[in-house]
Amino acid sequence: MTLVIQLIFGLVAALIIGAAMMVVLVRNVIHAALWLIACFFGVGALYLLLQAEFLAVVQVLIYVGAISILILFAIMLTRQVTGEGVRQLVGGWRLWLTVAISALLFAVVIVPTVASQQWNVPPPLGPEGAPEPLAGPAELGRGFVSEFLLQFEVAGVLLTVALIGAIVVAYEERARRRRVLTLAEEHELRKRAAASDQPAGD
Amino acid sequence: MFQITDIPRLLPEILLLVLALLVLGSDIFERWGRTPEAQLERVRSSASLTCIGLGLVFVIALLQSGYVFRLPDDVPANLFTNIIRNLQSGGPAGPTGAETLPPIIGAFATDHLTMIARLALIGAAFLTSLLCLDYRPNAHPAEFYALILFATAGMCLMAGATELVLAYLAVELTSIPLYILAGYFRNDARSAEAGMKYFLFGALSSGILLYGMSLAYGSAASAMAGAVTANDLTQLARIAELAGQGGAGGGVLTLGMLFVIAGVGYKIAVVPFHGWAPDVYQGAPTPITAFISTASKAAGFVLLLRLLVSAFPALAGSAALGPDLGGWTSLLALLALLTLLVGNLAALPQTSAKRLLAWSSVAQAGFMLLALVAWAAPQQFDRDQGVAALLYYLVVYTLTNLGAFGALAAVALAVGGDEIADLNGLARRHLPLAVLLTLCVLSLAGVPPLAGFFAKFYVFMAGWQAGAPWLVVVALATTVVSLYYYLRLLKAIFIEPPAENTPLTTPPGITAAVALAVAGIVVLGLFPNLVLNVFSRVQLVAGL
Repeated sequence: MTLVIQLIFGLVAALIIGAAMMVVLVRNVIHAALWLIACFFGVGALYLLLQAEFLAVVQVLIYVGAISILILFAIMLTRQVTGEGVRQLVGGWRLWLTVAISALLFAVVIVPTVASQQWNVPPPLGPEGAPEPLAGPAELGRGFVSEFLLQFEVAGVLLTVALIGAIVVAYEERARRRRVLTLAEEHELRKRAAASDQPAGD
Repeated sequence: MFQITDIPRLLPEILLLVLALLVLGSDIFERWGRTPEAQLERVRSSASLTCIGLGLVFVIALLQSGYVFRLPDDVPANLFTNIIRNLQSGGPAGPTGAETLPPIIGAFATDHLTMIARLALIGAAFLTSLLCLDYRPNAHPAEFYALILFATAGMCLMAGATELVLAYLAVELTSIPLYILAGYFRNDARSAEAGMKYFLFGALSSGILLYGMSLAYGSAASAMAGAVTANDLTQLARIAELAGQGGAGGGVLTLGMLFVIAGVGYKIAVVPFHGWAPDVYQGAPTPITAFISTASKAAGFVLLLRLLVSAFPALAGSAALGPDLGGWTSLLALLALLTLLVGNLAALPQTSAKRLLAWSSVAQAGFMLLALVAWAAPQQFDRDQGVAALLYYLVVYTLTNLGAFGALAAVALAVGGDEIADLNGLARRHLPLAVLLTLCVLSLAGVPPLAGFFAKFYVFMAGWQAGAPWLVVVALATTVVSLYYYLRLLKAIFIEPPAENTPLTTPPGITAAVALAVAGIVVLGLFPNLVLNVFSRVQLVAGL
């Protein structure tokens, strides 16, 4: 059983690391974003392996579902700014400097963690002597209606306010609104502009 | 556990939220015409609903507090007295009239500190809505007023939060509406810039605050390692209780405290976290500037007081020069020093009256920090005096700044600008407004017998008792410096010749709000005991 789990863990970890490497190695920004989604999936699987089903579901819903879409949107809307074929990696000694700084920063985080960590700590046991499960949806739900009731309600109000704010920022009343052109109309308009430019150039 | 009797304890916040939804809902039934008259009518209805509603909520909160009237125990029970009794038993005095109930689910305290802050905040929102009566947004009027109400509810929650998650959510509930309100005049480049800047800085500071909170939680949780899981580790009192136990040690907790101070420091705009304040204050619509610079700052200070005192009492340290220097009081003393110097010196060369008042608001935060430093005093009595001085300063500053920015809004509406030159000859063009603005400015400068003088006096006294006379000396010196730029305003009002000699007309709503604020300053200045008696009850707060 543990061997199987370790095997799965190894596969998932390889997926995460490989995908994360690909994010920084591929040239195309959109491909990088797609690799990032794969990485998020791997992290979701890792949560599942740790018996945190709720976190896994949330990871898939929010990171894979919402945040990656947001990243893709941002890339699409700023295509002209970033440029697709731009070489992202620096070369020469600057590359090695970058590698050294990154490695140093990573070491600052990882060395104290590894050094001060007690390994092989048995998981805390529940009342029946079985390993206590991490907070699942049931405990979270119970928390929301008991200890964290006020926080839950305030979070609801906060989301409502954010929605109202988004409407205020983004929505213009009809009298002021400009019609947004469809892609076809924009294309048509550009063609017409190009056509009218032609005689002027002659 | 939440009980049905906890609902009256949350009544002011609930009423604010209900009122916000009412304002939003009532707008749907208005005529959404395109003519200016129809638009004006729509704005007016939302504005007056907000204004009347806030007035009512203020009266209910005042009744609940029991500060002006407490129902005697031997009154015969009928419907009316029962309502009042239920209301007041949810107030800070509790059902017995002697002691405050413990915080609701450990997360929200309804003690005297919360109640006083609530009254100040709801009062500030009421005055702001009065200022907004004639300062109309060009689009989405209902949302404009509803966002003010949501922000007020968030501030009240901020003032009472005794738990990290609720405190963070309350900070966000306050900030998000304020970002939008600061940038409400989208067609005005300055307002849009203010909104964007406020949002970016606010998001950053929220992140810092969250880092601090998670470190504080982490230090509490590591003290519990291996034991049964607990759900109350985010409560401030628990963090203080578990401080120093367990493996994480004091370092993590100290780091968390630093991050918390930095995060809240952005919200209250103390140097060096003030970078956003002048631009935002200048760019935002003037009533919103008044609201941000007073209510949001007051709520931030109460939150900072509660966070530091409840969660990090062991790290208070001392602000006295010497070997004992350390802890958060000395850090706050340093921040106060920087704030006083930078705020007052940067205000000197300003040519825009609004920007000048913005810098003066930054400088005023330095004086309030001085009151927080009083927590370093060895005597419990002196600490309580410090808290009372802070609350007095907050209330007085709220009234004064609302009045000053309100008068400036009236001038800007009538003259069309908020440069100092636009104030030229105001005394000849509109004497009442000039007198009101003068009183506000004098109170900000700390001239007796206005309330600003006593506020500064109490704060200095608290700082002196805390063993930080060096800071008091600096504060006194910067007060003298501040006289220079405040008097520049007065010079423009009374001595400079006006650009035109035509009398100005000011909208009644703004005039009423400014007059109310000034009346408050004068009354509080002449009879400070009216409120100091109430403020001294804050020492009964559990956990303070």
